[in-house]
Parts: sequence; structure tokens; C-alpha cells
Amino acid sequence: MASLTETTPLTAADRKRLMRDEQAIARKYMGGVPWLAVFWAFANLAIWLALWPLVMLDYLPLWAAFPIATLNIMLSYLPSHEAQHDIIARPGTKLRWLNQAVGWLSTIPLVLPYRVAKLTHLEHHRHTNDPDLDPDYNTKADGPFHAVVKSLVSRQPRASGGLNGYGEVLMRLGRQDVVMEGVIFQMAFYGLLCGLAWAGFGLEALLLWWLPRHIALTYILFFLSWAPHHPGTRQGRYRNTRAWRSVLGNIGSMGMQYHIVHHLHPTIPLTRTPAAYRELRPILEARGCELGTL
Amino acid sequence: MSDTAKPPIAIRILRTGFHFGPLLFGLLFIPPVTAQIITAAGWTPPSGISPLAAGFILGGIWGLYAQIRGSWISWRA
Repeated sequence: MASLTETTPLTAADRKRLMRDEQAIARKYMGGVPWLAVFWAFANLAIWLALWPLVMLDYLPLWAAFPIATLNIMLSYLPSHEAQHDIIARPGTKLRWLNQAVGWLSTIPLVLPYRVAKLTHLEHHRHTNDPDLDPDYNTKADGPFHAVVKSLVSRQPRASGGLNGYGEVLMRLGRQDVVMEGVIFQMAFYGLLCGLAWAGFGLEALLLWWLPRHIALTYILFFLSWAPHHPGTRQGRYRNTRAWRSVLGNIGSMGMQYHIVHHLHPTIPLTRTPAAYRELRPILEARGCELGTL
Repeated sequence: MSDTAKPPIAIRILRTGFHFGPLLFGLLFIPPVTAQIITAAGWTPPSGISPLAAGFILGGIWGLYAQIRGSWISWRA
């Protein structure tokens, strides 16, 4: 916690120098197309879609397909996250269509429309840890177990906040059109589940989509929303998120150990945040960021 | 248009559908899935009821509980 015991206040000149150095380092890691995220998006979706005929035609047992589907849906969010920040291609560039395709398609298994995810996520960046304005503030919890419980409770029919609160956030932003997208996605999801169930594929619907989606949402909300912002009490550029060491490692926590780099420079691709963090670390220490033992 | 004007019929149907979401899920998804679980496991429901009827009983009661309480898994939302 040495980084939090900032004893010597920074002068204006110090802050200016640190910002200049920080920007110079960050710029080195920006730009280019993160092709891994593009491949990840389409391969992951293709595998999940392929599970359905493979299981229905008895090429693959359902018990084997269930963990694969769960992994697919857990992995479905991050490519869209890259697209939400225009990392794959900026507006007006030649490959913009690819950015939008990744954004729209990758989260289909998660039943999360691209524009719902993007608008609420950018609002999270603008108002991180603000109890009234951060759409993800509801994931704030005392510890890991509490975080999982809150995640489950927040998805109940009349729970407020969390994913259930995204509609209110979008209404506040004046985007009723995007609320309708969310409604249509939900209707299509539940309609397909019921249709599959009455067609004799209820177990497939349950174990390839409904249950994997809930497991994935729990995992995603834990590692992308709760853990990097815990304890969720501080606001400000260098205070609202942290670096931390996960027991599941960087891959197991979906790269979120370095989430502080993402909040400071959201256009750095996910796979480059570890290297950027290592170079930025002295600056983050000087800024008094919480870096744990990472 | 006054402030108290009713929203379009499609919106009212959507709102009603979402309002009764738990009950609909309990009656439209849980019964066939329960029947398929019972059949796959080789269980026999008590009192000679069919697997689908057992699903309707489970889904109806659980869906009604979630509809009233606002939560499937706890006593409060």
C-alpha cells in the first residue's frame, strides 16, 4: 500500500511532467487493428453456434457442450468491449464496419445489444464509482462472496440497478431507441428459449444458453465490474480503479488485473495493457494509484 | 398529445409481457424443460401425473412466487 501513502504532494510542474510522460508511453501502445480480438469474436461466436447442431444431431453430448458454451459466453464480452471503445477501427476509417460487426455480433450469446453495452459502458467511464450516475455501481460489494450474491440478486425480476438498471440509464441519456433494442433482444431470447423447449430441445436451451449465460454474467460482473473497482468508494482519474493480482492470473481474470490502464487510456487494446502497465507503473506510483502487489 | 395519453398498443403489450415475465417463464419454459429432465432421468412423478403436468406445477408455483416476490431465489428482490 506504499503507493497510497502519498506524503509529498505533487506540484503543478510535477503533474504536468507526469501527464506528458504518461501520454507518451500510452501512445506507444495505441493504434493498429487488434486482430486477436477480431478472431476471438468470430471464432468464439462460431463455436457457440456450432454447438447447437452438434448437440441436436447427437455428434456431441450435451454434458460436454455445456462447459464449452459457458466458456464461449464468458468470452463473448471482451471483443465487444474493444469495439465499444472504437479500438478495432475508429469512426470514418476503412475497417469501421469490422469494429461494428465485432461489437454487434460478439455479445449475441450474452443477449446484450451492442449499443446498450456501449452507451452504458461509456457512462461508467464518465462516472466511475458515482453512486447516482455509474451504471455499474450496483456491483459494489464488501468482498468476493458478497459480490457474487449481489450479482445474482441484481438479476432478479424486480431488482433495481445492475443490468436491470441499464434501461433507466438509457432513458436518462434520452435513448429510448436503444432501450427498445434491449427489449427486442430479451423478447427474442426468451421466445427462442420457450420455442426450443416446446420443440423438444429444452435441455439444450437450458444448458447451451440460459444457464451458461447466467454463469457468464456472474463471472463477467465479478471480474470486469466488481474486482477492478473494489472497494468502489473513490472517484477521480487515478483513484476510481486499481491494479490487483488475481488468484486466477491475468488470463483467468480476463486481463482485468491491469484495468487501471484501461480506465486511464481506454483505446489501448486489452492484450497490450500488461506491457503498458509495466512501463507506466512508476508514474502510477507517483500519482498514488492503488497497485497492490502487481 | 396530452401527458396522460396512452402509449401505443404494441408498447402496452410489451410492458404487460415484461410485467408478467416471471409467470410466463414459469409456464412457458420451465414445464417442458422439467418434463424433459424427468424423462431423461427416468423418474416417475408421484400420483400418476405426467412429466409435463409436474412441470406445470413446478413452473406455475415457482413462477407465481417470483411474480409476487420479484425474485426467483430469495424472499425479496
